[in-house]
Amino acid sequence: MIEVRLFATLAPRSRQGKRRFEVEPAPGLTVRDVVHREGLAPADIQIVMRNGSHAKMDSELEDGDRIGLFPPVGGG
Amino acid sequence: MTDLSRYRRQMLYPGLGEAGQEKLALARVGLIGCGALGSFVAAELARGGVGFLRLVDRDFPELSNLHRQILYDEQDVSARTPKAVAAAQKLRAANHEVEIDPVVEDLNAFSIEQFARDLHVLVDATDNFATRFVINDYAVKQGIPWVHGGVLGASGVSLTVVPGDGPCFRCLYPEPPAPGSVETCDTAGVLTPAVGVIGSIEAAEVMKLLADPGSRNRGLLTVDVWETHFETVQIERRPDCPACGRREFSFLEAGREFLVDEICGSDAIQIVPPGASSISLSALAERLAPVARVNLRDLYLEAETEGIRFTIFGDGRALVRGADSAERARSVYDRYIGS
Repeated sequence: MIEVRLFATLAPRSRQGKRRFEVEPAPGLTVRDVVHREGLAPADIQIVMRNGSHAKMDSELEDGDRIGLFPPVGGG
Repeated sequence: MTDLSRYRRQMLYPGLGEAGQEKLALARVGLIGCGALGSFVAAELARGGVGFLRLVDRDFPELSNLHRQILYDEQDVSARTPKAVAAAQKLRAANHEVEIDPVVEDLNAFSIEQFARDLHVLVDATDNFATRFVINDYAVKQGIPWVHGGVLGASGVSLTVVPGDGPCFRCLYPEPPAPGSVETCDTAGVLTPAVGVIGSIEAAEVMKLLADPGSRNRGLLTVDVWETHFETVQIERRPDCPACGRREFSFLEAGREFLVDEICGSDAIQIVPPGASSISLSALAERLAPVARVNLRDLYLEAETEGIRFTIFGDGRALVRGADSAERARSVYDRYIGS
């Protein structure tokens, strides 16, 4: 399974509304697909983390991956 | 030689030590923004003995700030003491040995040189992306290290930028988000513990940059206090980064700044964001609905909150009524529309 975490304001805006959930791995599945599936726009995502590294929206996902998504976090 | 005995407890930590404490005492640090993050950073650096601290903030404290802006109290709100001035009073009372220089002005592409040229480190405690791009361009151009921090909801991020050694802010964020497209603490909320964590991380990064630069954080720290998540992700320097790669500092040039004008014969202040942007008025209406009275029309959006009336157009331009100064108008634009 692929673990997905949505930070800051993303979870309440997403289809499931969950801060953390799992996704079934599939051939060619990308971060962008997960974002679309959750009803979020790629423009809403500013930081993609994959297994502790900065990753791209079109990174292909594998079983066991952990991804974390952040919107622009600009408050202070 | 200054008597450093009051700092004995922190000098006992070998990473800092007496040698590090002496470096803090000689340091000149600039804090951009004195809101929530700024409250934590300023308190920790002033109490910690940073010799000179310049506080740049254009705002006044409000009651709705007090849950997270821990330097201020109800008296500051009723007296309408500017944040930088109120902060300076509190910090001097906590540590008379540090020199505090409050500046009640807007930091932008034109003013940053005046406020930052004589400083060793800059700290980002601002509430908008536009200012961060100005800070990054200036700091990278001049070779001044700076510490970025941002918070939203229960989450926060921090990045330490040392020009020429690792990525800069634009390696991470190539372009600012379009004005009117981002959530802010005023529209989506923020938890004080998230601010405290990121503010403390920023203060620690400043101490390290001054006393032990090799120990600085070299990645992007991501935090969520509700999820108890702490993770540092590696960020690559981008060879084609406009700022640290190509050394093009467009955010310091005319044309990339917000234009703020009082409209003659009216009580409105007009704010025009740079460049041609196109914002979704319906998405903005949705974000503002929980915190403002919102009226979405064909070509514009009206929103009213805390005595401020906005008329916002699809290109990000806004008319702000009820703000008593251009600085205040820009401040509420950043807080509610987002930039």
